[in-house]
Amino acid sequence: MHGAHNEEELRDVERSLARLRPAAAGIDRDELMFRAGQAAATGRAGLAPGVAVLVALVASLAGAGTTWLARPAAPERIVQVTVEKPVLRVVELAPIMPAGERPERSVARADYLELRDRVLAEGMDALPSLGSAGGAAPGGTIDDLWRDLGIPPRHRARKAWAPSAGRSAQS
Amino acid sequence: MAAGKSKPIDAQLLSRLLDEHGRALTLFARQYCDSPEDVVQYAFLKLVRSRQGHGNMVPWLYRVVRNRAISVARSSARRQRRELRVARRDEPWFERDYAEEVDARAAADALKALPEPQREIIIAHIWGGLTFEQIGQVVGCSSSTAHRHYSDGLSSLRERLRSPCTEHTTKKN
Amino acid sequence: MRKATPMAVLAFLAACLCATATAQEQEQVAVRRLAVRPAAEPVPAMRYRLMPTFHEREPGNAATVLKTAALMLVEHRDKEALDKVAKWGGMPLEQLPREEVQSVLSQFADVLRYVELGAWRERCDWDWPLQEGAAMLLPDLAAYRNMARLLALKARMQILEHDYDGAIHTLETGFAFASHVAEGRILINGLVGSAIASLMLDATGDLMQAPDAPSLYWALTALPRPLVDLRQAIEFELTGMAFWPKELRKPEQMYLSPRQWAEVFRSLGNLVGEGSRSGSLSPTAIALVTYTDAKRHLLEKGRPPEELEAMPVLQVVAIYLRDGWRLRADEALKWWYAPYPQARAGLDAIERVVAEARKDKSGWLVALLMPALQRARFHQMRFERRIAGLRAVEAMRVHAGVTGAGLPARLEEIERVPVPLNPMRGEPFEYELRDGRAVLSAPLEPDGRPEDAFRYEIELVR
Repeated sequence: MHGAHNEEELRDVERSLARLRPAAAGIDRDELMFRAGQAAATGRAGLAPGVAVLVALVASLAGAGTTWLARPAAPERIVQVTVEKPVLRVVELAPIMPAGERPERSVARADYLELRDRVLAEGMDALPSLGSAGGAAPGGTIDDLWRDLGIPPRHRARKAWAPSAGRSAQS
Repeated sequence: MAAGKSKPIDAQLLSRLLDEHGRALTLFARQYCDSPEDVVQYAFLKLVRSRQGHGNMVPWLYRVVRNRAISVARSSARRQRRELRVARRDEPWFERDYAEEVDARAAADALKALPEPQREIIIAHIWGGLTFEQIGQVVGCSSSTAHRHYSDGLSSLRERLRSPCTEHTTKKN
Repeated sequence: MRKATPMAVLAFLAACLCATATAQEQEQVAVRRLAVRPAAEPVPAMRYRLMPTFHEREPGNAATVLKTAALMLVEHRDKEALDKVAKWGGMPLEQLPREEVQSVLSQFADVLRYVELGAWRERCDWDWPLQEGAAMLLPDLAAYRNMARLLALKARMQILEHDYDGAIHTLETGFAFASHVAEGRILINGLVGSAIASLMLDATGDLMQAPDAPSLYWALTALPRPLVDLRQAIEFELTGMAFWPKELRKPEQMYLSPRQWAEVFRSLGNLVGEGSRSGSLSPTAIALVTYTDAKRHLLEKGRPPEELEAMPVLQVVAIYLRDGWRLRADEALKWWYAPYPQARAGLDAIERVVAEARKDKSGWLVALLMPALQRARFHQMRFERRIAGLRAVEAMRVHAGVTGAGLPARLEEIERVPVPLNPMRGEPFEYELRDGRAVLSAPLEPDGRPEDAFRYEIELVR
């Protein structure tokens, strides 16, 4: 609303709000520095992308105080750090295995993928046995349910299978 | 950050800008879009890529953040909705401090309820530390208009946050 | 005694070696022997069915009842009995210990009843928690395997008891059950459904050989083709990238922070498993190794450089990996749509596609996540070939029933009913009549193992 405001009251509101601290920025500092170094290193100087990445990496690892200037001399200022070797060794692509021959992993591959590939290779026998598939029903057994209803499990009627029963009641 | 002549951007300067203004810039961006951190990072990277100082860089950063956040919000509205496992919904605007007289959540809700021109000017002035002249350059209005929006907004906030006894009354949108 | 000459010894040894080689070759190929009787076509023609028609079914979702049956099975907690059921499945019919089998079947009568109730429902919506992705657990599947074995055993006992109507109804239940299990949208459901149907086919073979058994030619012909269609599951897992973190399916549309992208790649690491073989999957490592190639790839696709620079590193990598996946997945998937006889060469090439993908950073996920497509298609077609083979045997029964003669000298002699082709080749089965026995066979497929061979030896008994 326009017009005169009670300035003193507004100052009070202002002061109260100013005591609130905005929530943490949530910016990945390392990522920002990495990208900033990369951004500073690439550009009209024409550095090769791979070298630019190395430059940025080393620059960010070198820490605060480094001035990035897009001068052709920049690569020379980057010291004898053989970054590429450790970098390239980090990821080793998994070798191809025929389905069913997956490499041993220290952390299990996602359950479904393992099961799928085993069944593809070995058939239905690859499914886990019933004991390992879950055992008792979660949340209680059917016998527990009967007990809750006051009917002992032994007395629960079971439909006897009659060998010559013929078609079921479905037809 | 005092106004001054241009200076190159180095890691130390970048780090200080992030420390001093990162939170406020993120708050400023958060009023427009769901990914304020991305927007703020974008702004810093743009600053670095521009390879030169911008006098007082802080208003410049606010302008870039504002433009980018509005652009992102528009794109986001056109995209298919999806639930992101890693996305954070309804992020708090302020840190909670139960000793403060103004409840953080109530303040955020009250700010969200304000018209955009009032809200963005209040955030830029109180937490961003921008003058009304600088704010005018960021949002594209005169300093007097910026001041007027500011006063109107504060008045609305005062009504929303005014609490009889110890209770806070808030209107949630 | 005259000493053998060196040449004779050599000839003898050579003959021994040849005979051994032939014997080994023959041993490697599994042979099914069928002793069948002539049979006329049933009247009416569709008197017998092996799959319920839609109007015969009950409304409702089969999955809820089948899951109850699975729960009941687990509740029985009688692993010993289930092990026996598994063992009996491979036993010739006449060797089954009838009383013991009947006792076990009575014990599981409740389970069998619920399998029947579920199988005869109209639809099946498993409603798996697919949002769990590849971490999804499917503990029911082991139970369905046991339920199928029980059902097949019941059918076989009914055959022994000469209750052919009952046996056909049980087989009908079994094929419907198999079809429902296969509706699970994911590949493993299709594979298990196919295996369940195979158990039913085993029992169908028993019925075909039973004294006075009716002709099942039209019942087998009426089975849906394919009985288990893996197409939807394959599409879901390949094109749908079903088990990828969903952020990686359309990464260019995502607006995540770098930290959020790092989380996405960490969850990808959980998917493919970490270990010494796959190396560290730290997001930083991935970014450093692939970013340059990824950027180049996107520039070549026409992405503006300034837009690229503004994107988080891992988002650029995500797009690159997704594109690499899509290229290979489509290359593999296209052959799924072609008729199998024409697609075989293409399907064989899939292994090469996957092997080459490993050498290219953009194909990294292909090596780790893509299912063995050619094996899946082979599973499906091998099953179809079995049905076709049994239909061919039934055609011989009808021919013998009509003509009063024995087995045909050539398949072309059968005129009463069409003789199916080998669906894996799109050409007739190989057939030979020798000493009153017919051999129906198909060549061993290049991607098949010896146990995948197809060879029926048929004898006509009166």
